[in-house]
Amino acid sequence: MKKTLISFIGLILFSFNVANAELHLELNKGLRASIPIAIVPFANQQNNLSDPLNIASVVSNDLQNSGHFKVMPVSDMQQQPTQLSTVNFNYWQQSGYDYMVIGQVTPQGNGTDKVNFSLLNSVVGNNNAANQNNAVVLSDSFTVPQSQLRTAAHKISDIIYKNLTGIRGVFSTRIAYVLINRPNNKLPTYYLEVADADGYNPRALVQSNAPLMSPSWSPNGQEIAYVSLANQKASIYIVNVISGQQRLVSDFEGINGAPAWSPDGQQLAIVLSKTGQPKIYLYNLASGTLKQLTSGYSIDTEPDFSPDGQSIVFTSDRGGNPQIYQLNLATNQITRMTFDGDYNARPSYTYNGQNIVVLHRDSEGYNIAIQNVASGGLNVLTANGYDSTPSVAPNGQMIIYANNATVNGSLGLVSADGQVQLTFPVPAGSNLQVLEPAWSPFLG
Amino acid sequence: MKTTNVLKMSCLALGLLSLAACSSMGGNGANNLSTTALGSQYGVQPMGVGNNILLAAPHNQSYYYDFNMSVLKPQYVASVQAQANYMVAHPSATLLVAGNTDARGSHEYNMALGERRALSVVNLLKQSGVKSSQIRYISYGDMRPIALGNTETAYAQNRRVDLTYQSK
Repeated sequence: MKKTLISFIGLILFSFNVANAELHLELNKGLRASIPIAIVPFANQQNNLSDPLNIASVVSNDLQNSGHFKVMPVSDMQQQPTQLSTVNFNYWQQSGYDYMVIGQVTPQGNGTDKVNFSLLNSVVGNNNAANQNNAVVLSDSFTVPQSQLRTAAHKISDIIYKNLTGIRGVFSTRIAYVLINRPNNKLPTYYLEVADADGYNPRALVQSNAPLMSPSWSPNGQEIAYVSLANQKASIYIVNVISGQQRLVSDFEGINGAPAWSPDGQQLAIVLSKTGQPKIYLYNLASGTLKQLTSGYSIDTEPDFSPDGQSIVFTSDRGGNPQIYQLNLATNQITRMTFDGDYNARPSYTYNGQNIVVLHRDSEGYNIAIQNVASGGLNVLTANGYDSTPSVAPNGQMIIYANNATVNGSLGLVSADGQVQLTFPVPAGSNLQVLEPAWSPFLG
Repeated sequence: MKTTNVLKMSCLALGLLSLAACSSMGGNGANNLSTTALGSQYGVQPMGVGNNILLAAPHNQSYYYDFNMSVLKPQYVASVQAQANYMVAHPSATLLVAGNTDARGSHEYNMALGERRALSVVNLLKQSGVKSSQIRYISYGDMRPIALGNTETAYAQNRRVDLTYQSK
């Protein structure tokens, strides 16, 4: 099976003339039973292992960081075949790696490379020495601009991950986050950044000398709604991730905040305090009409739609302290969802709607927790004590959040079962602070 | 428990931002973020100084709040009323009232808490006769701290309403 994929999703991000620190993942904890796999350096790439465009290196990191795989260190590989005909399956099975990936990068001229890869089952291969083709689980190829080899690598990771776990991978998705630069003796600059899910290729989509907040991806991944506090007022904007064009959504007196897209992309749930109290409204993007959803003397904020669009979860202090409530959009009935602890906020549904992820405070501080919607059982996933803004990956496997334990902050990843934890550290000693991550939907 | 497996850790400075600390990445060294200079950047009085000028009017003020509270403390009431008296006597004067919170908790919830703090001052100004048209207010939530870090001192300085004259 061969096909040619000429272009990947090429998002042209407006890049301001500033540098952006790349935040690179570190795996801190990975306790899952994992699938052993060896990603052999591709032909024409063996000598470039530290190159960010090295496909085997990118795929290895992707799979290792997912927590589902035990990836063979390249330094342990006594053989590095790049063609099926030269694979000694006995060696790979004896080394304990049931799966392996081989491939080739072939320059095509005009700045493009053809990337071929095969996922092999070394156990099958070792038992079928007469016909090694039986060991081929799948093969695929892409032709990409040489500058996009990393994109091709993430695509390969997605294909392998889906085949071996049955779960759609998020290696080709993106994250948005807010980066603050605080140069000494100068006012801070705030950036709304978009980067690959592994932290590479960051671009500043919006730059401001006033705080930026609450990025929220549209369901098609093409737009981000966010909050600006420029000009001494709060405003909600939508920025197009591809063109960089912006449009104002809302700038009433008081709070204009916490935008969240409806699953069909046609409405935003937003928070306005124009009546004196922060309340949740539905804003119809086509007609511009507003519908107030909640009322009363309480803080109601941080709405998030259920995946079926039938209800909204939100944070409210109507019971005396912040807890999560669910609003049924058909009946307007409001039901309290969280009862564990005296502070639960910033709810978001996992993409199957079976769980909500929240910011939870207990004696260990502010941590990320997940609650099963049906049973109400709450499981605290992190133990940093200074966490905020959880955002769920579109396959529901990982949650990205901000860890504010240090002045610089960091982004953390934790698996939905708490078993895998990773961090994107910000350079210690820098003037940078990172916060407010938001995971994109599946792209393309 | 941290068995850090450093998968990828390089320090790329791709342009103007100078990441001076590249060589110390991964260490626990002190950071360069000032914990004292931010307030002056925003034109905000550091805590303590304000106590001497509370009753001066017209004079920019900062009022501080207890954790998770949005009630104006009694010791600030006379100060707000002094500003109100000036505003009533000077109808062309305008004020910006900005509410802030400490870094803990959820950003958007803190926006709401910061607005309640701002309104605790705005409402007293209005009750004292100041016209709505003379007052603008905003919550910055936890997004504009004057003190950084997870210390009680920093938290206390950031739980704050800044009253700033836009015109006198």
